[in-house]
Amino acid sequence: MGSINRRDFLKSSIGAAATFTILPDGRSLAAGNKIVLGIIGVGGRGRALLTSLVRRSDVRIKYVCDADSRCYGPAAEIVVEGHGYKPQLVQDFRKVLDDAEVDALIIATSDRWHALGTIMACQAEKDVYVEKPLSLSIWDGRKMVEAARKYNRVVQVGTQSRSAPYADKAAEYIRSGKLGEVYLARVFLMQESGPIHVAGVQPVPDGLDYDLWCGPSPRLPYRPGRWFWRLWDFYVGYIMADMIHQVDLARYLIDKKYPDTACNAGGVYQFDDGREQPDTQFATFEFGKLTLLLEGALKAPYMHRIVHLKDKTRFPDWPFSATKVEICGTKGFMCFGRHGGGWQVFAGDSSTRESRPVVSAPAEHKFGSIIDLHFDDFIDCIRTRKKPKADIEQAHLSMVICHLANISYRVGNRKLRFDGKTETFINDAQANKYLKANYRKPWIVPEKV
Amino acid sequence: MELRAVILPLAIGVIFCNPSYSKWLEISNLQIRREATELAGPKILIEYNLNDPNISPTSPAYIFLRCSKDSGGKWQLIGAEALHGNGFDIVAKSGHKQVIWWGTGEIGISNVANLELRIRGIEMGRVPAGKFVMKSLPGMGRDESRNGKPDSDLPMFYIGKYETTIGMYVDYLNETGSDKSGWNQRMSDSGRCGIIRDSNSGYSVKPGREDYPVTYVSWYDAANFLEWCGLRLPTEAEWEKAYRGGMYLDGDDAKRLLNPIPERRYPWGNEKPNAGGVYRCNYDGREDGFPQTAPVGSYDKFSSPYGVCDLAGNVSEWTLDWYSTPYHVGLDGFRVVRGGSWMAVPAACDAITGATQLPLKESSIMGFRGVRQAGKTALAVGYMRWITRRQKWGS
Repeated sequence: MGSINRRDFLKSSIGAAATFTILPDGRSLAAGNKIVLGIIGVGGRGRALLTSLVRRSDVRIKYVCDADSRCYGPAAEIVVEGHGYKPQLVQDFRKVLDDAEVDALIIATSDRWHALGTIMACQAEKDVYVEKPLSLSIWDGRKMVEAARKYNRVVQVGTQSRSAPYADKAAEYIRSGKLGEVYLARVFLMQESGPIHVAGVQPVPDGLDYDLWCGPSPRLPYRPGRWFWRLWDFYVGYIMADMIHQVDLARYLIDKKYPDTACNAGGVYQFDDGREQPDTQFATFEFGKLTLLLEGALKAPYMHRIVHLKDKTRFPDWPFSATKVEICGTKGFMCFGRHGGGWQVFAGDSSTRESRPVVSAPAEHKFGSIIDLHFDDFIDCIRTRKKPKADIEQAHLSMVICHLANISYRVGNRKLRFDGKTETFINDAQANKYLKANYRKPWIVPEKV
Repeated sequence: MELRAVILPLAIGVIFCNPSYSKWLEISNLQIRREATELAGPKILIEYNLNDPNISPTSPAYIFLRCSKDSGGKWQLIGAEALHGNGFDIVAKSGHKQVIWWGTGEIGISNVANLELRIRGIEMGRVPAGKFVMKSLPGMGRDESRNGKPDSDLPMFYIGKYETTIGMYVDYLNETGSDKSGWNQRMSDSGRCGIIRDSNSGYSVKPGREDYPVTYVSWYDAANFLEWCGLRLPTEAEWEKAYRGGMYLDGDDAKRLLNPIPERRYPWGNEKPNAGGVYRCNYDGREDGFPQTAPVGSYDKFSSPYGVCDLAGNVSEWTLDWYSTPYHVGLDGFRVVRGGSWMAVPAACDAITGATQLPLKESSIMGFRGVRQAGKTALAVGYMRWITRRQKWGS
């Protein structure tokens, strides 16, 4: 079997609908064999993912990779402490892709690397976990889906709430018709925030491959900190980067794909820090007879993220829940909380003019364990070749909604008509300019993946 | 009326610390007497010798006293505001010291017969007041929820010359930690720490590990230890100034000693930690002589301009500052650790690199040291006895 190309072999085994994969070196992805992983991007988020992964005995972290080698220590320590061995430490993720032993790549870099990193990993026959927000543009996301499908890869996205059982139960409730017809859904991301501070230009520090770090985004002068979060070329904005979780949940609950129209309102009202993305956004989307409303604001200190709840049997204080989804049916009103907030359905009593909860479903799992459930699904899908719950295409469809709101903002908060079949705006050259992100050679997301 | 003083021997014994618990300064000839007065209750006279010849105004000792009013049951810090004399708080000279404690009643001690005292000392580096170049946070990019720039003009403060050692921490645990607070199993299991909890709820150090930096301590563990001492964690600004030095190493009041490299990348200058085959700190790998942590002060030739050791490498150090972004608002926010570690690449041991960690994180690569701001009194009130002898590595 040594002469068989691993890629070809994987294709054939997947095509035969095998329930697990036999690798050309004799290893197998059947239960009992460890899945070999590499992780790229080991800042705070990457280390949080590593902390979950090292709780598993069915994976081996072979590589810790970051363009900034100064990040190695705290990340490697998690593996040493959790698994008892030291991973290989590399700056260039292509070394990870070149290693045939690696089964899957965990991508926890900043957003600009999500699309190209995923595509290159698929081309290298790696399965992928990629963090949210999925992409910097609608086109990016579509190419990621194409790559996943072309190379038959499992690509899971870090929208963890999809793996929470309480989300399935809420969706089942709505599908059963108990909530009545749904014409309106609301998604929230309202919270306290602060300005993005911009440090002075400094020499590139030792240990940082700054060119690789910038990757597909412009190579601007080096500054420490997160100055780049202000710029479209690096980031989709605070609101959409986090609201994507709730948008994805809402889209799961209402079971819709593409909206027909999108219209944003809002702007940069609060923070005078040079940011390009709005800090206040209301966006409406029409899905036939259903309207979806996104409400985002970054100066709302009276709103609270559900993750703060210690007691998971409690429900959020819904009016002040920063990360909730509201589904308005003709029979009932569902409040759904991200981060393990659970869900409740309220029904009205016309005689008393009061509404009371008629269904209360706690999340059962704490937020941290939902991340573990998410990786359960990922590892299981790597073995079975099923699509994960947070499959790349579902995440892309959700991310499209976020991009649509942002593009509406970028063209003057105009109402846009969108064609889901082509993923383009209808007769709107100005809006269509924003379908693709700006890329920097050689890190170009290819037309043909 | 003539004040009459009656000198009585204090009815308690003096306990000297185990000399193997290193990095407490050496204190000897401790004598404690009670002097009865007619005016203000008992006065306690404490005399001892501070023996370290290296103690000086630029490298002083921080002396703190803790007391027990129930024969060693519970202990408390004696606040500096209750003390007089030349042998407590920042002590700039070795030799014979005298401390007067007048105010036992203020902390609920009416009968000194059962009083026990402990004295401990920590070597510090003096960081004079003045401006310095803070490069890690220009524009305050690290705490993105705060307004205003980080303070690059600091008042004088003192910072621990060494990272807190396992020996010191065990001493603390034995005085406070019978309920396991401040200790976790990994401290015992891992070869990277070495604090064993015995069946009698006491703690001991694995032989030979006394002078290694304590690890697996959360931010709260570090803060609690330092509160026990009357110290606190350094802010990021303080940590970085101690690392790099101010614009004038003797401070902005004197301005006689210009810092030759105020923007230095490492405590010793700009040479890389392994330049020329000379190893200047403990970073990742074995080539520096230490595959894991090293005894504190192992690279004392490459200390900061204030003589502070191991700011680069060995263990990353908790700071008082936290890190916040809009994602983290309202959470018990991330704290900032600085300085690289034995698992970091050499570049990560520089003056500006940091990492964020949740405050409950207990890690084999993270430790801490304390700070005393000049002119600040202790946080709590208490009394004391004893100290350890410094030891050479391997002796």
